[in-house]
Amino acid sequence: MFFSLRHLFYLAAVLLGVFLWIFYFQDMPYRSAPRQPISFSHRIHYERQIACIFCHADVAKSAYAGMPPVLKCMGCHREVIPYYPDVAKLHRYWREQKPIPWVRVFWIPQYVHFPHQPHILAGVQCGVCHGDVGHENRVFEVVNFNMGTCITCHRAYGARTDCFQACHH
Amino acid sequence: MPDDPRSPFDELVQIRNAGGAPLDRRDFLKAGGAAAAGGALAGCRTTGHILPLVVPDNRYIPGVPQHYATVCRECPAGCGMHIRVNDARPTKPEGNPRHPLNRGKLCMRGQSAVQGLYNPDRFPQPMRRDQHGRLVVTTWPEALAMLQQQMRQVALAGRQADVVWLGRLETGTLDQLLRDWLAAFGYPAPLYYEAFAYEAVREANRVSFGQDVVPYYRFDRAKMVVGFGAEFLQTWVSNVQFATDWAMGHSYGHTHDPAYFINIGPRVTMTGANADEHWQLRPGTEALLAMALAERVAFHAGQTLHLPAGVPPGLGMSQSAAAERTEIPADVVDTAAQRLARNRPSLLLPVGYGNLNAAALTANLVLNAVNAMLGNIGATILLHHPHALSGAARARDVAAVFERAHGGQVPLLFLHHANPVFNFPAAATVPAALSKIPFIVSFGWWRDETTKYAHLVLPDNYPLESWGDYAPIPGLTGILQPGRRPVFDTRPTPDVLLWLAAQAGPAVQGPILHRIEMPPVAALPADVAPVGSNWQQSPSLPNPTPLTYDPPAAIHSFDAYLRRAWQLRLAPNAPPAEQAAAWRNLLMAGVHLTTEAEPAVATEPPPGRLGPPINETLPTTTLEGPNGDPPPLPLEAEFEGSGDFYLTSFPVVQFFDGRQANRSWMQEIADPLSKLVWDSWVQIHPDTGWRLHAAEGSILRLETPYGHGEWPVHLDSFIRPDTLGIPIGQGHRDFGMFATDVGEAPQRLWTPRLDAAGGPIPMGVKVKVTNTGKTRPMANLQLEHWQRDKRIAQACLISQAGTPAVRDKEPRATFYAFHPTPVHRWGMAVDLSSCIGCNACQAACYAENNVPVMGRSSCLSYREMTWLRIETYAGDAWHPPTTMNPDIRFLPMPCQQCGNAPCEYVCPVFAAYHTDEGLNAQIYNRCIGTRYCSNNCIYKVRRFNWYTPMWPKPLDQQLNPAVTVRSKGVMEKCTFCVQRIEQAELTAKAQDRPLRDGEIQTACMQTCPTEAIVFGDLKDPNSRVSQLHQQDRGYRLFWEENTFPAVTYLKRTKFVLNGLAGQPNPEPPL
Repeated sequence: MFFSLRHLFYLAAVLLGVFLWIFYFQDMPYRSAPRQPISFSHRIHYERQIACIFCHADVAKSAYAGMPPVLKCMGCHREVIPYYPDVAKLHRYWREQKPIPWVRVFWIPQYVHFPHQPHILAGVQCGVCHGDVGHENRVFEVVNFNMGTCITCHRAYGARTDCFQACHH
Repeated sequence: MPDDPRSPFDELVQIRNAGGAPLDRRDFLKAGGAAAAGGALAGCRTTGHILPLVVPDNRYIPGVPQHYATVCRECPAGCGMHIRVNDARPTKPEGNPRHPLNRGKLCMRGQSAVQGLYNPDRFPQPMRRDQHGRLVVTTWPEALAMLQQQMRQVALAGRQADVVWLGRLETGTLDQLLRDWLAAFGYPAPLYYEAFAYEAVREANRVSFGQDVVPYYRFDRAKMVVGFGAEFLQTWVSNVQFATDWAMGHSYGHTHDPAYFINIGPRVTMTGANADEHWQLRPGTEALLAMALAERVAFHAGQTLHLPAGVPPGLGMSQSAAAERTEIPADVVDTAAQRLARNRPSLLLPVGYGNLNAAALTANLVLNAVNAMLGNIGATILLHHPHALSGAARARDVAAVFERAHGGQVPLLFLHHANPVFNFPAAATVPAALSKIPFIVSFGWWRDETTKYAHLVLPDNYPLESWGDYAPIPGLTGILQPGRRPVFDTRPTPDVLLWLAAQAGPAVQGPILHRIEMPPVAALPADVAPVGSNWQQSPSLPNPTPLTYDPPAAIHSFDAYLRRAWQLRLAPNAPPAEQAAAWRNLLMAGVHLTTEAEPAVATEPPPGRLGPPINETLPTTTLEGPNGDPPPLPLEAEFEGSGDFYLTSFPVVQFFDGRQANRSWMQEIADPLSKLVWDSWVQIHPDTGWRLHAAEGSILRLETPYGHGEWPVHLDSFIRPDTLGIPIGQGHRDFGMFATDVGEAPQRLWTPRLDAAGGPIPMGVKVKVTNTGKTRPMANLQLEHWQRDKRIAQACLISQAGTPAVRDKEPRATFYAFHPTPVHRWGMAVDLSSCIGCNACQAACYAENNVPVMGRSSCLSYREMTWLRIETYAGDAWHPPTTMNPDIRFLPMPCQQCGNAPCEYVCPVFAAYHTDEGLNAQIYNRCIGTRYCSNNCIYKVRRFNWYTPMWPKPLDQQLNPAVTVRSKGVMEKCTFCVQRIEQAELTAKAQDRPLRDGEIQTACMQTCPTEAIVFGDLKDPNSRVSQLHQQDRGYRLFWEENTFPAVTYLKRTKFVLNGLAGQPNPEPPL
């Protein structure tokens, strides 16, 4: 036989994969939350009324929001629950003087220039793009970062919509 | 030589272009590297990690570029540099505006410093020679132990006095440390080898004025400049400073009383292309012409010429007889002499490197006498501010080392970034001498022709990773600081030296540390010694362990040594906190200036500030030869060999003496005059080509008594028919992936003899030429240098420049509505009277905008990717060039950002469109690669990515994160540095203020040494660019096409425009 059953099975599996990718996963409103090296919970910190900008301190100064330096985590956790297993992991990173390899959750392609600074200066709340991080234990992508999302918002607030000078250069 | 010169990079490109198969193992590995680089940039959807800092650094916000003040060490000029660091990666060099030499500008070689830092051919770690003679990797402790053992053996044999340090020119603290270190071990003082050591200039100044110096020149004060081929706008002494000063004194854009510039030589160099007159002198008669000129100047000035002893007292023939010998008409010389007698101060420059022959020293002596007679010494020639190059060894001294090595008398050679094998004449047999030396240790960054002979390589940090200082003139010192931690496992050479001294014990270390008032300290083991400290102040991701230094331990690093030395110098008796503050301020300024240096560098001195000329008080000494006998000082040079042709080997702006050849930008940015890339060539006159049956690309075999070689022909009429011109810098045989096997070096033809000043004689031979009958394609990026009345690069007379007579026609009206530009309309003005064609803007554009390099094969199909090109034209249809007035015009061509752009209407996917600030946008991710826009562009400034661009690792670390990296199938173009516009707009918005004029500097404008390019807002009537747009000289390119470009060119100004035959040629004013 030219096609064995096994070949057919492979073909079907591939087709199913392509189908799922095109019609389901790609348009999924969010992706699953990746496992982080330390199971850091935004919710717990939010409930203790720590502002986003306390840790993501560069957000109004830089294109990047900035991740807190290990020293900043240690500033509290040297004293606060130092023996909790995940905080103990933090202590190990600090002892070894190594950065914590956080897994990236929010991502845009490199042909889009998204600086945080002007958005924060314009008063856009973090949650508009990042979702209700304060109630998430593990962060995941709530808003689909496609061009429609950006444009809708830019139009609604009268922000610049020039393709080239605003984003794609 | 291969008929198709192909560098290893080109082979890589071929593999990529062919789709990658079939591959052998070696190619597979190479292509794998390329694919990895490509894959990283392809923009596939990956997540990856975000690494935070371990310890925050209050000087550093991730994502915000930092600027560190340092010094450009790409040539001995020592310009100040600001290196932009994006998240711990230096990405773009810019001039340091506070440095009084270059005033914020850099040349193209300085722009390429990052390509040296990230050069794929750098040594990744120490190397040693194995029993098969190959260089293999080793570790630092092993390598240092090897060196220690060799030094011990030398000491046991009692041969310390025979050890040689051959390095590049160093000044300041490192020079001091080197001298102390060598003395402490009993070795003789270092020899600083520079290929361009200006021996004939120094010797002439020693004889005439008793000072063995390369003086400083003040071009901005000179009312007239006469150059005997000195390449002062490209490579000569301090070219960025000279270019700026020269523009101040010569360009109509900066002064309405421009200086007159006469260039003399067998060939028009890039510098000569900017001259008002070019005299095609017969090679070897420089001294004769100088004497003829001197006699006429003395006559017209009514003064007496004082020539030093040994120089023939006069021409010994009539002016007309001299004119026959030099082939420069006597009336031309007389007119120039009248001008010189009237326009004071003036500047008569010595003979340039390409024209050095046996008579060059005589010519320099005569020119010195004329300069002294006209009162130029102390006004435009500052002998009391010698350039650092005065400390370079003469070629004679370096040749003596090789002579000794031939006799087996050099037991140990330290090589420190010197490449004499390439720079010396091939007939000097330097390799044979090197192979007689039992142990050579090199501190080289990369493999080159000399490092190839090393037994041990201890790779140095690149200047952008190093601490140091450099004093180009006394009283002016630039401070080097690292922009990042080392890319590879390299260690700063001075750290290695300090470590070796510490290991050798207090007797050796004591005198070295005594200099900085420190006691000797205990030695550290090899694996911990010279690392670490020089990263302490550099931005680093992630941070190393916080380093603390108590001063004694810190003495193992040059960082601490330097800091200590400067703190003692800046604030000797102050408390430590004050000393630290002084050091920090110095680092931020990047330059230390004392009053000693001021007369040499102040930009606009009030007249008379220097006091009376000092030539009367200078002593005159007699000339001494190497043996004490005065050497013959001929008025005419003798040439060796029986050929029919003279040879001029000229330095070019992109390669200096050849050290920048292994950089893809330098290879792919076209030579200013020939526009050739990825090759070397022999420039011949078309008449000569006719005689030799040679066309463009024909391969000629050149032969002298000392060697032979094959070069392809480049036909160019701006050279004497009896002279051949070959560029210096190409023809490397062992110099990395971009330079190896590209072209041929003219050093193969040179005489190994040295002139009376102890310098090389590049123009000392006559060449026999045979046509091999072979040809090869020439990668020439501009085929047409005649304008054929297209009115592209226009010129006008200086006498009319400020009048409506020079106005171009206005564009016709259009009945289409203009694109609305509510807030800004970005525009540019380019002053062609200032543009010298130095290509600095082009290199800056490559660095800023991630412009890819495509290699020779793509350049042969005109598929280079440059966003900004310099077009070179010779006259126009109404004003054809002559040898006397070559009328060469340089025209920088960025995207014209048309108000009515042809590219925009034809894009089917709206990737090319007009923004509301007047830019012609190109959206890369929307582009589908139809190339309609490029076809419709009348300026041909759009570039298509025919292949996936390639940055061999670690060159990809240079990429600017603010600019999208384009990929295959995408059109790209100049955007007026839109990322800089956006950043400036954002900053202004954050500070709640309007944009200031001049706040946005495009990369090309920022680096232009003559400030020919001005960028700004055309909607603001008070902006500088708007006012330049209103000038009478302004014209827009191809106005008749109604494209309404945003770039206005200001016509080049000439004293004389060549008329057509039969028309009167206006005489320039005297």
